[in-house]
Amino acid sequence: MLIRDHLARVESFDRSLARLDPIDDTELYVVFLMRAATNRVNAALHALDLTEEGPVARTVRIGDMNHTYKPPMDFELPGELHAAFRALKSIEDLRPEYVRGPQRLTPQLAASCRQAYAEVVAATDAILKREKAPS
Amino acid sequence: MNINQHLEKARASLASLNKLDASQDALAIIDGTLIVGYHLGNALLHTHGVCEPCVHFNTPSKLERPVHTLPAPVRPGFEAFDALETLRTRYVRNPGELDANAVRDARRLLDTMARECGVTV
Repeated sequence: MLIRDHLARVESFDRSLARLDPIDDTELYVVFLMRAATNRVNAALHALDLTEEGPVARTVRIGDMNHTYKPPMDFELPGELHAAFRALKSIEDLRPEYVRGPQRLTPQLAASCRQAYAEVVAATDAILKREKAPS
Repeated sequence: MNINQHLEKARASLASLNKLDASQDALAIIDGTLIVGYHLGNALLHTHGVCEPCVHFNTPSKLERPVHTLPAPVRPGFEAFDALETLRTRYVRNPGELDANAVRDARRLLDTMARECGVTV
């Protein structure tokens, strides 16, 4: 997807997250936070020209990442995105127990989620502002 | 998770979904229906003996068999789940232009799944 499409999705999921409570709405909250963060990371990767923006032909480099682990990266992750990837992975890792499993977020975990997302926002905003590459 | 745990999670996720605004949260609604669908779908699989509660399938595309080979009572729910997954692929993971029809379709498909599970939407 184009950077502008990713950023439109970030805005949309951010708006929806604002209507939810992290504890009462654990399942959707975790997934939407992951979506917003994943779209931010994809926009930053495109801006750094590490992944293909737009349609991807087979045999060329990868396009959008669905998760931190999928598809496998065919590039070296720059240091400035290490913290964002760690933070996004921490949100992804909540899914087995808190989205598909029986658990509900605790206030501490909800705070950790928000902090993780803030780390993704900080890292990706810095890249997007610097690269000024939205198409 | 067992059937009751899945249904409890489905009801909780449905309540969350109902906090969203169809005109402003279309993307989230499409994505959220998959979460509710996951719990309803696995409740159906467990209810009809397709798999044990210790086994789960995230989406129809992860199911190890085609939907049309599932037992008859599971099929309508899973056909709806399959269509929900298609909507997610089109609009959440690709830049499909969302409109009110897509949200209506998603809610209708979720209604079908809920009905098959005896859950009130």
